[in-house]
Amino acid sequence: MASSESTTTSTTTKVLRLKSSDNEIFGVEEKAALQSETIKSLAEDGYSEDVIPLFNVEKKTLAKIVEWLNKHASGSSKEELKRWDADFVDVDKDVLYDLLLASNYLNIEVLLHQLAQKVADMIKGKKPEEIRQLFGIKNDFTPEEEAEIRRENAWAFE
Amino acid sequence: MSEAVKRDGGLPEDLLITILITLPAKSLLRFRSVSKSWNSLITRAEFINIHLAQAKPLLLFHHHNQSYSLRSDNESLDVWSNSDFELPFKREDDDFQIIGSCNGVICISNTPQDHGHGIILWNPSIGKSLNLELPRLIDHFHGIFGFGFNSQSNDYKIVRVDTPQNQVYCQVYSLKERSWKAIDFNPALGYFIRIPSVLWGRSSSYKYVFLNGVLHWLADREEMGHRFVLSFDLTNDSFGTIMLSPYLATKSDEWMAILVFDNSVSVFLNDLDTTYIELWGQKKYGEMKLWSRKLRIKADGIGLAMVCRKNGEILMTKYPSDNVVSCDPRRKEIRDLQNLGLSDYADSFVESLALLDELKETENEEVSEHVQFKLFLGLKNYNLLLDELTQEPEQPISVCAIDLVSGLMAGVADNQIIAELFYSFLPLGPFTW
Repeated sequence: MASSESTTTSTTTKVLRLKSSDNEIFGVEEKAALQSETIKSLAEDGYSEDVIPLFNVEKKTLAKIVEWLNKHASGSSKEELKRWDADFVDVDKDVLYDLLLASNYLNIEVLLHQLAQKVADMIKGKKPEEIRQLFGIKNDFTPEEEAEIRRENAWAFE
Repeated sequence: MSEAVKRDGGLPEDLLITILITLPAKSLLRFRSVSKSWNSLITRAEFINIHLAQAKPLLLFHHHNQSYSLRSDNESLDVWSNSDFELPFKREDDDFQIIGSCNGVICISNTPQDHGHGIILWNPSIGKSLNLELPRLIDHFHGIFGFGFNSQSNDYKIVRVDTPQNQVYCQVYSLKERSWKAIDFNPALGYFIRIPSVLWGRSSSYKYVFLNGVLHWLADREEMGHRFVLSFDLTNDSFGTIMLSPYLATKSDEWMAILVFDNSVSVFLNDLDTTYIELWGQKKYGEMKLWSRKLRIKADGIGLAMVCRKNGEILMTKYPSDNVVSCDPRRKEIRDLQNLGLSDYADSFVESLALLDELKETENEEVSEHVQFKLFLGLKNYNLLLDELTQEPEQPISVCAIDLVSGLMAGVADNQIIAELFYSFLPLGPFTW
């Protein structure tokens, strides 16, 4: 909303205004914001002077994304970033999924891969039933089909 | 998770792929039973290929006690977690040889001591193997093998070159087609090709390198006494040659090995008399590629070079102990790797889902009946049978087979056995040579 007004007028660096799907506006320095390929192309399409609408990202998720963009444009050391990133992705699974979808939509490759790796680490040792529950997937195998496919891959269940 | 995604029953497929490609093969096998769409995604050739593309580099070792070990290709060569392999066959007297590995698939033959079992493609990461039909082998002891992947047709191929009695026979197996086909050998390449004899009897005698879709072997042109690099391009099934420098071409008494160094085909030379080892690579001069020496150091007790590590060092065996050493060509240093144990074969390796798509239809294939039949008949009789069959194309295969099997087995087996053998022979056709 009005949060970015003061920044746009008082600094020399250009600030882009990002609007969440629920109409919250975030001011982000251009350098940080352009880590998102989606924002970059929207800015190039002439949105840069205006508000850039991000229809697929809610404010609570966009706030986290902006936090990430700022940190990664801050010039922190590699080691510090690594620690910071590990903390950043250490969130509950619903937040993680929202971040994953948002980073995919915003096309922030580095963040996307960090999140994907986090999810992969989370699910690596899980059983198929746990995966279904976690992702909300319906088991569409017949009991016979499922038994057969488990038999084929029995080795992976040891 | 937003409501829209929840209703959809999961993540969008591109996101799901981004997550799944980072998982180990074992997790992915387990996740095939999550749902039909997960199963079809994981077993899709495209998925298998992108999963492979991001795999971590590993090193595969074959040890003297017929065991394997897998290690990370990092500085300390850490043991990889999935290193307890279960062999795809369990005959105790098997003396198998690794032909080579590609995309995480190991190609094994138990020749030359035993003509029986044939060739096995084995992906230890998914615990699956395929028994392949043998080519019609004329002479094991002069033959060379190669194993690679043609990315254009998404097909694994095995190449076999036999050189009996001053002739050259070549056959290529295509996993897609599940058959061997004969390849014309271009006479311009010269006959009398053989592999360097000093390497016989060691796993390294099968050594070839596979680079950019092309297999490369060291070979000799006997009538000229010259050594060269024989190549076979898997994209168009054609042979080629790379000439060695006169210095290398005439070094026929020293131990030589071919390997990939600096992403190009290179030659390792070990002069047992002077105890110098050398490494030669190709250097580009405009359009021309010339051989240039990358390394020459005095190194007593070295056997052969096995494989180049990611950090540029070369793993070598010691002779005669088969201890493993790592040679840094830039610093000209050789370091003992005692913790690796004895090894006569090392190759780069990756963990992959390769063959999973191929195995969908032929799950749990046993040693096929016709391979058992071959074992029973012996190779010579078996080849006789094939000769007869291909010479009488008008005759229905069944008639030929009954006649021949009856003839061959007369006096040594009763009708019941002949009938069983005949039954097991049927899956052999059609013949492609």
